[in-house]
Amino acid sequence: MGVSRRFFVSKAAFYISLFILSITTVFLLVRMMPGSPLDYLGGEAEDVPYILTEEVREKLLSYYGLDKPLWEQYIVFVNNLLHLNFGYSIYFSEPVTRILLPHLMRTLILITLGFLFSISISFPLSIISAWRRGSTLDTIITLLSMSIYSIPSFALAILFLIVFSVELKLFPLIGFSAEENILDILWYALGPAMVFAVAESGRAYYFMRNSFISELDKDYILFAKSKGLKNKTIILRHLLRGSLSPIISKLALLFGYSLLSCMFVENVFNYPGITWLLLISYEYYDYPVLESILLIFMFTVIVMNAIADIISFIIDPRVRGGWM
Amino acid sequence: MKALSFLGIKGKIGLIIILFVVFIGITAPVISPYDPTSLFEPFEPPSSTHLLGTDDVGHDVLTILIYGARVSILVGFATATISTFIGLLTALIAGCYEGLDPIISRILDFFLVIPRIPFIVIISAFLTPNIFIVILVLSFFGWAKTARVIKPLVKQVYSREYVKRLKCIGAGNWYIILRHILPATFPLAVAQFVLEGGHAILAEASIGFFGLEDPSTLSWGMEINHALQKSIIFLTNIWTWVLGPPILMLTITLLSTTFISIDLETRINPRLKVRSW
Repeated sequence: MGVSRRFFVSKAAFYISLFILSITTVFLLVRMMPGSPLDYLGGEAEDVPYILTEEVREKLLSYYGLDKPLWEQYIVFVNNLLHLNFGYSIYFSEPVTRILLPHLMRTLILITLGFLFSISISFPLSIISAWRRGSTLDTIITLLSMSIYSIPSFALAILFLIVFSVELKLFPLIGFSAEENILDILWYALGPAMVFAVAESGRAYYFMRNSFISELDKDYILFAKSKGLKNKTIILRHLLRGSLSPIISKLALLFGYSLLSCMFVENVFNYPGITWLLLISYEYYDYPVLESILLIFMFTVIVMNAIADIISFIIDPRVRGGWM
Repeated sequence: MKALSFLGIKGKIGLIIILFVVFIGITAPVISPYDPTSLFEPFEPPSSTHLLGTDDVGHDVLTILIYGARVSILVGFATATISTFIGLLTALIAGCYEGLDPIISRILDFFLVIPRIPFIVIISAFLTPNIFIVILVLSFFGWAKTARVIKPLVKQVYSREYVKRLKCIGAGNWYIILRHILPATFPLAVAQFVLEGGHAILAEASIGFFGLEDPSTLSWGMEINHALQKSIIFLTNIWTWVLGPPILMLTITLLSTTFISIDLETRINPRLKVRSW
């Protein structure tokens, strides 16, 4: 018990310091961006040069709390975060959560669908090719997945659009419909999710194959084979059990990063997800929205790292002794 | 050809492609049919005067393609060099000086959670990303991965018997590091170098793809971005020459770096080896 408590305490301390560091980095980078959100309050800057008088400007600045020195803003920001208050969007003039949640939902639908597709493709394939390592089948699958891994995901997305939306007209060319019906949402997520799945499956396949191979080389698999166990039994009882821990923790990490890797696919499809919101809030210096999105990106990666740690702690008792 | 015997057939194919792209990049002013700034009629289909047609503003696509190779190779090579150098140095220090290891590990952990692309978006508000800024920013984000990969190997080599003997006969720490540990990490460092080069080329293209690069940069990513902004290219077959070639070049280049790095990886870790293809 003593060992695992020390493990959790030191890990928790590390992750909390990571959270603080990322909050500070995001805050400083965003608030110090040259430019001001007020430039865009009167509409598009290039169309209407909307000049605010000095008086109005000062009033607005103090309204949004931007007239205070940076360190005071920082305290307010952190205090708000601790109360789960993400602030009030300057550009959309609505609470950030109201703006953010629908877009985040769309992105989550996309990556969850895509992730499920990608694992259901790459998991069986990686077992087959690890089991029959060196065969022609393995060679072909590995070569294919390496090629897919190297193709940038936006290129895959463009290819998909050209083939399925432009030539075959099976999928819509724009990323969303006005109706907010769940079937519609899923329908518009399907194309990007498929592209995302293909793009991710190369990476997932490659690391799963590698962990299966290093497990297959161990003596106990050889022993199981020489006992005359059926292949199916060896794979299900021994191979999967032995290699599950690294695979699940790596999958958790991949899922954390997929919020980032889906940016390209979302952009090509004009999907109304978090990437769209990121680019809009960047363009209009909408500090609260921009900060929230960046924090979501960093927090997901950190949390998934933590989950990967916990999973490998639960599944693999060897980790308990060997940390730090 | 004997010097290349450490590469398998995959690696050799990759190397040939990369050398071809490097050749194009270096000789760009000589082999490109036009000056990169000269303008023609926009969206002209491929013909004998414009082998790959012209793009939305009237640049000759082949010329842009050739000059784009220059940007990609420069960014890939420079970023890989800088981040491998810093990463290797960090790994050596963290692996050989035990007291510094926990601090360095935590710094690496922080760098590994920074989302690269969103931060480049923010940074591009401070500085217009010309090639050199892109190289600096990508190296800033890239070195930690290299350090993380090489550090365990350094630790392992440093705890070997012969290093202890060297210490006993009075060898200095940096003598051991430079003469004995650095050469041992060399194969892994080369594999990381190629991998990081590929990542940098992809990241540079991604920055261009989001349209964040300096508008005067002639890169494949920017070309894709410009093309995608004109949805008219999908109504006719314009995309075949405006969008196709830069994507194809990018994919071929990335394929070759992946081929080389995976080939090197199977050489370092022979258990992963598939048949000798």
